[in-house]
Amino acid sequence: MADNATLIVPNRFKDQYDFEYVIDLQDRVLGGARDLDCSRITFIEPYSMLSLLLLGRNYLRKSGNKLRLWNIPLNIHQYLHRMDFLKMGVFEITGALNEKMLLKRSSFSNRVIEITEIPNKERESVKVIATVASVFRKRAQHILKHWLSSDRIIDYFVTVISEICQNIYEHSLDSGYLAMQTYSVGRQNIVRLSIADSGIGIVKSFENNTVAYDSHAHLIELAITTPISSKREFGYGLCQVNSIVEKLKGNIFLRSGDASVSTLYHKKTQGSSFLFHKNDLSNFDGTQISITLTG
Amino acid sequence: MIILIKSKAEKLKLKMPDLLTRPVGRVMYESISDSVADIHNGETLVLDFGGIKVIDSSFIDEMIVRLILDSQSSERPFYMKLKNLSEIAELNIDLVFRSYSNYKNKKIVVITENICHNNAFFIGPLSDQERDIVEFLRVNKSITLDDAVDFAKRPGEKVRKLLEDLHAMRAIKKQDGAVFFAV
Repeated sequence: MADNATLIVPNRFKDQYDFEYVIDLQDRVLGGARDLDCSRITFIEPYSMLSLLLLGRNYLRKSGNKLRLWNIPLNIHQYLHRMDFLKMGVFEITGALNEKMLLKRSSFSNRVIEITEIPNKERESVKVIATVASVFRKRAQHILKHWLSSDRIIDYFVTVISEICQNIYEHSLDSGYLAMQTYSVGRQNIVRLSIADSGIGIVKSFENNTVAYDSHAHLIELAITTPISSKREFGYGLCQVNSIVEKLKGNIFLRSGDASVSTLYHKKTQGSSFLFHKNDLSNFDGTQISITLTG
Repeated sequence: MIILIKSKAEKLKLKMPDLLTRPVGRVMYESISDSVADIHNGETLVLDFGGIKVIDSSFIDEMIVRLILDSQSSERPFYMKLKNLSEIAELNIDLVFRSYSNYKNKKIVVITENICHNNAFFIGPLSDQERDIVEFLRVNKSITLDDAVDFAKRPGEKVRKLLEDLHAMRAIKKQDGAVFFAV
C-alpha cells in the first residue's frame, strides 16, 4: 500500500496537454514524496518523458536524493531503457530489466533520437548539435517516413533542432535534453521533437529587456512570432522555427514557467484562430518545447 | 575570387553537410577574412555553397552578414555573390536579412549566381523599383544613368539615388561614377 512518501503517478503522459496533470503534482513531489509508483502509466511520449526527467532532476538538485521509480510496467520500462532515460542518472529504479527483455536497437532505432543532453556551455553544445543533426539525417527516412515528400523537410528539421538547442546554452543558463520519435496513435501518425530545459525561462530571460507584454503567454507568443531577443538587439531562432512549422502545417507547444502557447497550424483555415495562450499554470522551471507533425 | 565553402569547411574540420551555430560561423568568417585580405578593390567574392545543406541563422549572422558589412567598407570595397545555395539556406538567409534590415533600419542584400525561390537573383528586402534595376543590370551587364532613367521612367535624381543606394548595398557595381555593372 502506498504511504505518504509514495505518489501514484496518474496515466497522463500521452501529450503535452495531458502532462499538465503531472506538473500539478510537482509540489507534492518536491515537498517530500520519494517514490513514484508508475503502475498506472500505459503510454509515454517524448515531451512527457523529458518533462518527467526534468522533474526528477529538479528533485535531485533540491534534495540531493534520487526519486525512486517503481512498479514500472514492462513496456514502459523497455521504452525508457531504449530511449536512454535511465542512463541520465536522475532516478533510482527498482527492478532492473532482465537482459532478455530489453528492446533491441534494430528497426525501432531508426524511428527515434534517444534522449541527448544539450550542455549549457557553447563549445560542448556545438559538438552535440552537430552530432544530433548527423544522427537525425541518418534516421530521417524512417522518422519522417509519412511526411517525406522531398528532402526539404529534413533540412527544415535540422534548422529547427539547431535553433532551439542553441537557445538552451544562449538563454536558459542550464543544460537541457532533446528527444524525437515517430509513433502511431490509432490511425494517426505522429512525429514529435521535444527539447526541454529547467533554466531561467523566457520571462526571466527578458526581465532586463524593454519588450512590452500583457501576460507571460503573450511574451512567449512574441518570442515565437517576432525576432525579439533577450541577449541581442534582435533574434532569429524561434521566429524561424515558427515559420518552418507553419510551412509544414505542424504544431508548436512552448511552455515556460507558468504559461504556454500552442500554435495549431495543422488546424488553421483562412482567418481562423490558430494560436492559444494559457496563463496561471502550475510553475515548471525552464522552457519546454514540442514540435509535432500529424498525418 | 571564388571560395568553395565545402573545401574550406573540410580544411577547418567542420562537420558537414550542415554548417550550424555561431562558433562555426565565426571560424568560417575568420578563415574567409584571411583569404579576402588579398582581394582587389571592386573585385567580386563568390562563395560557392555546393555540397552544403543547412546554414542556420546564427551561422549566417556570424559569417555572411559580417562579410557583407566588410564589403561595404569605403577603404577596400568589394562585392559578394552566393552560388549553389540550398532552398533552406536561401530561406534562412532571407529571414536574417529581413530581421536585420527591420531592426537596424539598413537594408542588406546579396546577389546570387542561381535564380532563387523569390524568382530573382538576389536575397534580401529590395523594393520593386530596386529589384527592377538589379534585374535590368543583370540582363544588360552594364548601364549608364541615362539608360536607367529611360528604363525606370522616373526623374533622374531619384534614379541616381536608387543606383547609389544599390551600390552602397553592393547589389550593383559602379565605375567612374557614371557606369554601373552587374555584380
